[in-house]
Amino acid sequence: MYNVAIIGAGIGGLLAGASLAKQGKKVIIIEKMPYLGGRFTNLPYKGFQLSTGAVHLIPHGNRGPLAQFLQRLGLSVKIEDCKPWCTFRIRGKDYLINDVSDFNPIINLFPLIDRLRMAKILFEVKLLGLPSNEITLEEWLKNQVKDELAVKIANAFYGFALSLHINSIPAGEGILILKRVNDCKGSGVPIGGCKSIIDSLVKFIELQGGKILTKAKVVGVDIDNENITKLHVESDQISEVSANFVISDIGAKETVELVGEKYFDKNYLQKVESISPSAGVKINIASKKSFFKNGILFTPDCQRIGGLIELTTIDPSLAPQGQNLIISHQPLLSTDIKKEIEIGLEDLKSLIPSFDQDCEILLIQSYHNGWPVNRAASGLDIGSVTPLKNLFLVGDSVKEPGWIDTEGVASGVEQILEYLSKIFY
Amino acid sequence: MVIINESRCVGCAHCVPFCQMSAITALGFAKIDLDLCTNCKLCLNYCPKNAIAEG
Ligand SMILES: Cc1cc2nc3c(=O)[nH]c(=O)nc-3n(C[C@H](O)[C@H](O)[C@H](O)COP(=O)(O)OP(=O)(O)OC[C@H]3O[C@@H](n4cnc5c(N)ncnc54)[C@H](O)[C@@H]3O)c2cc1C
Ligand code: SF4
Ligand code: SF4
Repeated sequence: MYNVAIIGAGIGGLLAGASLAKQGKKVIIIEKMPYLGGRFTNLPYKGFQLSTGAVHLIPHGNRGPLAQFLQRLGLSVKIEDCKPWCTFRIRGKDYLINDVSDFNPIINLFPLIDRLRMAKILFEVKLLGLPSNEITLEEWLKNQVKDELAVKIANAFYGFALSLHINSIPAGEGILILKRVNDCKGSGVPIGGCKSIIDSLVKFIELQGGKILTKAKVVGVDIDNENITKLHVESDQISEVSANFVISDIGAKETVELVGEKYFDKNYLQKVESISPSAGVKINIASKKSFFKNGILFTPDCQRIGGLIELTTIDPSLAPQGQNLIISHQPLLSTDIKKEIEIGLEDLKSLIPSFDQDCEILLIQSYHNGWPVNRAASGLDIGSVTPLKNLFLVGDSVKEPGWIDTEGVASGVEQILEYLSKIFY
Repeated sequence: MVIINESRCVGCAHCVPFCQMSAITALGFAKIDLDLCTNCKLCLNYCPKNAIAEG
């Protein structure tokens, strides 16, 4: 009998497992794949460290919830800040943002009337709080700033960071995300890629006596009196697991499917049904030449690509010697994936005129339909607590407001740990 | 023979690096070049969507 069984060894499951193991709980983590880390680990290919999902970015660097979480565990993962944080390429010209709180180089591109409006918005947000989540960020922004450059810049930023068009981001959530970026002062890259974080979590869990299974798929559960009493597992090692508490890192919809809809009330099922994921395309490029030396490059002039980063300027170990690794990201805006990829490639060729001579496409990766960028698009997350008494959710369908990607996952795990510490004895 | 279930495949390309024969390409969907594929079935284990099956 375990204190806690965790379904799925993504970053969410591993963060939860590490904390609980540190508290002395008997923990088992059950992962269906042969590798750990889910959509946040390295995928070695042709000598490059590509990834199973993430662009190898820690959105808020050393100051965000993920890095803080790792620090509290006592793990020493090296996260190198992007310096400068980013650059915006607008009408062919690069505008460096050295300090996250100083967007003046970009603001100065707007007509005076818009600049005055922006100052007014800033004041209003500070004084009156965030805009409503009832309207989209696009509607809200268009009401305030007239120059269409604003929409382009916003779509580049949110397209890269969240894999969403601003017409599907609630306004309040969108602004809260910006505030978090501002508070945390920029992004970072874990040296060695996402896998360095996963490896240190795994080592920590095992040192604390936690058990981690791979190639072990949870295929069903037994339920008694609104409690999960047993997990059924397909693996060479074990066929069932019992635990006082179950934490699921496989997504809210997937968890409901696994447990069985009939155990959840209508209200909850409706909530789960309303979560919509974010979808996207990542293009991995190798080049002997270096093109982008100034942090994340946001690309408002592109049709689809929101931004890209030449990761080897920060961590050369992600590519073979003498090679550079560039990764671009774009939201998936239609169901015609091939077309979307083609447009992404056109964008790349406009950003790198010598693309055909100097660059090799390593891998094009699309994420949607049950294996998305984020299981809940920002602002549409569901809470950790479920109608089943001993079942809780972690991962990217339960992020805390305003925290994006793995920062959201870490802050969500933090919340549920606090909750559990109150009922655990 | 291994086949890709196109309604399950998302094109994440996880399977690509694991094929020692470089038989898989992914462009929105994975495709297996049956002239190169040796039917080793390694790729089956590396698909998070369970989209590769024995045909
Ligand atoms: C293209 C792309 C780019 C991204 N870029 C970044 C970035 O740069 N920075 C960032 O912070 N975030 C980024 N993200 C988001 C980030 O990758 C995810 O938010 C995060 O990895 C989600 O972690 P998770 O633990 O919620 O889920 P997952 O990583 O999906 O983990 C769930 C785990 O559960 C396992 N599982 C599923 N079903 C079962 C079962 N029945 N039994 C046992 N195991 C099961 C799965 O195999 C998986 O390992 C990106 C995502 C994508 C796709
Ligand atoms: S069965 Fe083996 S050779 Fe064929 S595609 Fe899969 S990994 Fe490659
Ligand atoms: S790993 Fe599976 S889902 Fe991903 S491209 Fe290969 S077959 Fe498709």
